[in-house]
Amino acid sequence: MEIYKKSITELSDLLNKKTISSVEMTNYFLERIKTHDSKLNSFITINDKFALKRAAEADKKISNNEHHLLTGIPIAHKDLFSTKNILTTCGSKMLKNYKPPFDATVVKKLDDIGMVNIGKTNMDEFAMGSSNESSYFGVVKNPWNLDKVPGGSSGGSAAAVAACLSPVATGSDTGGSIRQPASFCGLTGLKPTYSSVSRYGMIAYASSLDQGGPIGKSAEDCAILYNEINGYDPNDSTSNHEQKIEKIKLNLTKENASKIRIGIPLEYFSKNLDQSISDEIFKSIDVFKKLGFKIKEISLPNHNFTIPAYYIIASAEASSNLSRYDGVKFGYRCKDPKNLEELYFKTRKEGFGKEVKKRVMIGAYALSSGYYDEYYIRALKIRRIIRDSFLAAFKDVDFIFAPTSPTTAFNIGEKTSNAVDMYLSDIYTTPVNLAGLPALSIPVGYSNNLPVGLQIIGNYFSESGILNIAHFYQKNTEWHLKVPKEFDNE
Amino acid sequence: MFDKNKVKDVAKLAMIELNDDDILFYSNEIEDFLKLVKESEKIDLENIKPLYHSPEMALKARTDEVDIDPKNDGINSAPEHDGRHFIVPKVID
Repeated sequence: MEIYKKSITELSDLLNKKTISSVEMTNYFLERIKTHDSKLNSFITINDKFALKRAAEADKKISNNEHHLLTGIPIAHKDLFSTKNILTTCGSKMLKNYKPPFDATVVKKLDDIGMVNIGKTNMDEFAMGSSNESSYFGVVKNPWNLDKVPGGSSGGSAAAVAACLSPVATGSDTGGSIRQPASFCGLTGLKPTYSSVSRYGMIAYASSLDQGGPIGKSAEDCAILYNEINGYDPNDSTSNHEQKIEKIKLNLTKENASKIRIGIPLEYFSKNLDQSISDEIFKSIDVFKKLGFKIKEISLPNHNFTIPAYYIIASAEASSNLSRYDGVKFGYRCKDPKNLEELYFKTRKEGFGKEVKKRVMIGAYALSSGYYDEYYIRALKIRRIIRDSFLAAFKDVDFIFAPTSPTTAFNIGEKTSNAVDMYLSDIYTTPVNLAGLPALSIPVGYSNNLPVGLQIIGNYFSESGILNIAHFYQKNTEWHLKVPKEFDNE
Repeated sequence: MFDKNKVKDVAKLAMIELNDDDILFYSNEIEDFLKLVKESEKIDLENIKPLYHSPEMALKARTDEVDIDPKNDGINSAPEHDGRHFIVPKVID
């Protein structure tokens, strides 16, 4: 039956027709994890007992006709979403034994409609990374080529969905952490408008940039999940309470497509971009033209200054957010501290990994007296310039197409000794976070047997348009249906 | 130059203990990063205001009411506690 390849709608159909129960479906994916995850390391925790209990409850709801489209469907959560009484490590030694006393809003919303949380996925420590190599729980491998990284920081979620170990997963995106791994693993990943998805219970990295979202095989799967996780949450004071978000319907027609203007920012196709990626992106743009979309060149000036601004802002916020890890209230504590000061200093030395320590120190420096204006305030001014350039572009076009990443998935270890090179791999994704805009990555081709991602960027709260464009493309192409050979079996 | 003394100062601000190898490592790493930041000095920021978050919407404050679920008491997550208090090394002799 090739259940592993099926979309959410197809899986839901199987459950409703009682072709398969949720318990059987959950067991099926748990078995796939047991068979394949030793090659990938995409999960930190597998919730087998908990998941089977939840699946049995879902079966009851389905029998009683009290179900939702997502009831009984398995999902994996990135390990920064707090899950009540279930290990939530954030990829760090600091939280290796932490079991939160509450659920993140995203987790709770999906739990309430009966989704089955099968496990928590691996990630870069505290979401700080672009390759999933900074996790305390080890490197995750890319299902398309086990010598390559899956991207980061939601690398475990992306690898798990690409290898069909879970039909769908959650991720979080601070500077590209949903879109870049989706791109590297041939998946569809949505970074929603900042504020549209509650951050309550998402372990904080950079609070003005962090945003949760779905990673799935298709725009349709992402839309189904996004419809359920967005909305105002009184527990997140930055949560959107001004803009009403309607349930997304995927109903774009060729006639409507011909009214949509797409901008191609020339600056995003400079020498930084791998030629083979540029070729694949332009081939996909030709497909979009044939589907009726109006394509025009645009300019997004100064976007080459995004990386320094992003890393200063994100590190500054991280240094503040991560000050809570002091060995007192929760998380790791060093052994036998002589006094309170030693407790703090040793706990943080032993509990944090190298990259986290570096960003916390850069942040502390950027916020310190004498350097605050030179670094932090300057970065925030660049942020305004980047945001304003997007808003100016959206006066002329409805959406923007860009590469998601300048390269395809790189080799494990290739960039670990050159941090700046690693940071530059986020060059096309970070501007979107600084501006707080929504963006989606979809697979549009392959280069050396590795997936290439196209980014669709929209104005605030334009997720419906973004997902409709992507779905329309996916109805007419098959890139999103491909499964890595090694995992393409029952 | 982000020298070793600067690393020590920043590590103190960040409350992270470092050994000599760490200090050398972070001196080079932070120096490389600040070179990248220096390139952004080319951009003209005259009359530009900082943007702290985007989209810019007013925050919605909660009502000033106590809303604590005793079952969700976070004290059980502490590395050391007696059920009511967090236990830390002695602060005053």
